[in-house]
Amino acid sequence: MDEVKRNQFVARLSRALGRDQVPTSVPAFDYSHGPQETMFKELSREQVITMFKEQCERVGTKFVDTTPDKLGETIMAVIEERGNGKIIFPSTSEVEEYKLKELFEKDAASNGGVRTYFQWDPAKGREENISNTANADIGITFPFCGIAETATVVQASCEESGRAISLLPETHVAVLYTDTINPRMTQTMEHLAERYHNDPSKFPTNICLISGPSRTADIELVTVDGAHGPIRVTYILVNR
Amino acid sequence: MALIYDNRPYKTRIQECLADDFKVAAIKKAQDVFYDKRNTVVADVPEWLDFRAEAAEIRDHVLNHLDYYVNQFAENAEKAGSKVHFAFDDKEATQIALDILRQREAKMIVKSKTILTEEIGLNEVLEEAGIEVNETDLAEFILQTAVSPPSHIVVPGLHFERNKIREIFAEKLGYTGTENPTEMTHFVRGYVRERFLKADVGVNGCNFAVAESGTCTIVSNEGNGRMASSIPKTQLIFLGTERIVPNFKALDVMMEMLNRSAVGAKISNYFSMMTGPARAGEADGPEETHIIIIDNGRSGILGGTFQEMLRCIRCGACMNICPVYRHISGHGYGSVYPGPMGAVLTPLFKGYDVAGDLPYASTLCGACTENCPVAIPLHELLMEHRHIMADIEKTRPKAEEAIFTAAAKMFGNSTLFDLGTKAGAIGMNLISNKEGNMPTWTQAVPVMNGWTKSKEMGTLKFKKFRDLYAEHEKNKKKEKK
Amino acid sequence: MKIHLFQQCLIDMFYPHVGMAGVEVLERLGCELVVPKKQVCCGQMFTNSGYNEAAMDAIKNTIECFENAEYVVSMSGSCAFAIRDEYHHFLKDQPEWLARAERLSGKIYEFTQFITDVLGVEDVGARFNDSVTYHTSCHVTRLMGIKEPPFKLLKNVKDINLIELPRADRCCGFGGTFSVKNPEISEVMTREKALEIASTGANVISGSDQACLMNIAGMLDRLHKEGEIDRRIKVMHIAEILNCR
Repeated sequence: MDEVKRNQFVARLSRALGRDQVPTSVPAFDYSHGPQETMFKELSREQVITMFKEQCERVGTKFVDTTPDKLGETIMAVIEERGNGKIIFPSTSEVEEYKLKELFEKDAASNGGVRTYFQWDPAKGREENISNTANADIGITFPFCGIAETATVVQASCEESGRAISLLPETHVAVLYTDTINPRMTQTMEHLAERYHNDPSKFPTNICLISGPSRTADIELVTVDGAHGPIRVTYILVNR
Repeated sequence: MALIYDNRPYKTRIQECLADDFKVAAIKKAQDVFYDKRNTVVADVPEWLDFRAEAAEIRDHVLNHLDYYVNQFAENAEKAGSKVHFAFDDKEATQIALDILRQREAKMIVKSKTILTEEIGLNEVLEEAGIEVNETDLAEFILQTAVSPPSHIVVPGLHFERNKIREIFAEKLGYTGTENPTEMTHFVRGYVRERFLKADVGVNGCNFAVAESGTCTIVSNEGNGRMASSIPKTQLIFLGTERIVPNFKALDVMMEMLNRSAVGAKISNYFSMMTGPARAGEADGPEETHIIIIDNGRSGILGGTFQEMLRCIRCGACMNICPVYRHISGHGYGSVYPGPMGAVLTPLFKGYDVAGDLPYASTLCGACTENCPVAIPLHELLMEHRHIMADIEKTRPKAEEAIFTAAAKMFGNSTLFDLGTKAGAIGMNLISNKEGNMPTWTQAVPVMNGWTKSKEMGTLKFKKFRDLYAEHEKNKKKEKK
Repeated sequence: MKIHLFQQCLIDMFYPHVGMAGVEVLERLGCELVVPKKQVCCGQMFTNSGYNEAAMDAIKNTIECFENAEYVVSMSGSCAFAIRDEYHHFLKDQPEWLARAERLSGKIYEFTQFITDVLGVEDVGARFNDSVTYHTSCHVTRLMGIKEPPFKLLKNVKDINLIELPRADRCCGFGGTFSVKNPEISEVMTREKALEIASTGANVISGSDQACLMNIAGMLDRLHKEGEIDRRIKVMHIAEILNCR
């Protein structure tokens, strides 16, 4: 950053605001009067999950319910339902926890090429990971939380799970624990603020709130899915 | 594209727009669809007006401390590994971008939708330097392919019907499919995907920049913003100085307002939050992120009569409801910022010489103000522009000024008013036709023809209301006796 | 109750019978009327065009005519809006006049608002045997926030067939001097409004702002003359309907 230029630039703003120095601190904005703090506070966990599902239905996002012990099965069923093909999956802790890699390897050995699997592997570098993902038909990710009001999943990028997995394949399968679903964006933002201030150096470089497929209505307002990213999205809701 | 992309006279522009039946019908339909959808999602939120008040307060809080927040944002963005640049005007901004691209020997870039880069004319500068620029938002892609300016800030390609789009694609891109929107969209998907994967640089705008963390955010439905910020190795983010929020909590409130106001949805399909480039070890995302913070006239608005205009979050709600925009579309304004917000903003950026007609393109009905999610008193600011032109800078035509000054004398004094209207009544009654209206030939009389060309006009009455009332009072007194 | 009537210059010049209908309705409700002879115009047509300085004569004349009233009732919403909500802005640099404007601001009411909110009357005892649709003018409804009063009054008119006007809140295209400064745009706006009115099938279009009504009438008459609307749709200020027995 060019400090001289920065100072000139900011000084112009200060002058416009009638002062010759940038204030060293400003009063914090008080959000406690806003309606967001109290909205949906009275809802039970069950009701929040129901709200998430109802919003999915309203906007046409598919979801399936499952439990941790049936997760592998459910993923296989969704892959099949979404037309099989090449599948890209991350190397995050959930993959190990549910032995998904083993499951996929076993399937690959016996399915006669209907389904092939690639794992996101930072060690393989940019080109290979992006090209594997660009050629994949289905991308599987594990968002860290959900938002009920808007049927949103919140996806953070990390070494083990790149931005591209939920973006380049035509189908995105998001595996979400139902106990991470917040009523509103309010709680997600509170969480992010806390996470940032705990350790800025570990804050995800890219966080995406995903609320459906890639969509456009730019031609005569006709809704078309799959403008650039996923054409289809399925949420797998894990009740643990 | 420059901020003002059509320098022809205002009247020429609007007459051309009014004559374009498809465009008028398309905009009307879009307005009606957005109006209904917006009302539905807003009705879902009983707390809407409280949110609106809070959103306006947040924006004011930021504007009143903008020097502080720009500093804070810049510091935190650099901490996160972004490189922050400052540009006073469009020339500096495009030069900074060009220098970055040249250092990296970039040949091709992909862009997601950003009006700010249209305001500063980025594409022209880069293309002149031999760099291939690809707009990737479907509407922007259509406009770039067709070489046509935007007619709306959220859905800028509405003025093209599907058959026309098919023709343009066929002619310029060798498209052989039908005019089916899904088929054409997926054609563009394939065409643009190749470029996303090959581009040297991705260009993004920024809906809100978060000061506490140096985060830039993009709202999009198509996901092209995600593409441009995830795949190319270098990322350029163009940020208007005023588009900062203090912290994550504010994002929650602003997103509540933006999505519902813009397209009548609770949320956009994607909301990306980018904090610095990818870290070592991440296998995608930008290796370097440059944020160019642009003033380009904003500091001249800050602290003045029009500061409230800087609250604007570019949602388009004012044009989705404006009854004037409804008929003249964005092209009537000739500015990348159309509708009521554009009619306030364009003259602030470019002056009354070139944009002085825009503040008059409003009936002051107040629908824009009522629909604005950050409560900008748009119609009052339009009046303020008119006042400055008429009374302070005195830039209005002398003939207009003379008419208003003379009429104001008459309408401010009952004696003059009675004399004037009596003479008028005689004249109008002499010429009136058998229905008691002004005859057809008055359609050739200046000023009056503004009315009589399309509407009937009755005559001034010999006996005015106050005359009738005086008689009424006299009769009542008689009755009492 | 003693009230001062603000006539609106358009009613004075072109529609004196509308003013008289207002007088008769208010008198029947027991009001004692004062109609200041020196009143002319609120000045809005000048301030809306930016000529705030030229408008001073009209603004100050209006303040002088009405500042000593107990209540002021305006026959048109847009004038009431200007006096109630805009004068203080135009007079912000003239402290003495500002104080006088602020005193007047608290006393002015739009015609229907005065009847329902101040007099507390919702049934004025009117009878009107025809189909009516209603244009809610922008200044009255949106800017002054008066939404219910005209409908409360109309619902209690005997024999009336009240039909909802689609998109009633959309501007009719008048906008004061907008209509002559931007006649091409005003024309298409008013045409759309007129055709929407015709589509309701109502025989009468009513409202409580005579400026909008004048604009709409001009278009309805022209479209009828040119055969685009098959019937003559009557334009009546709400006072005229409330004055029918």
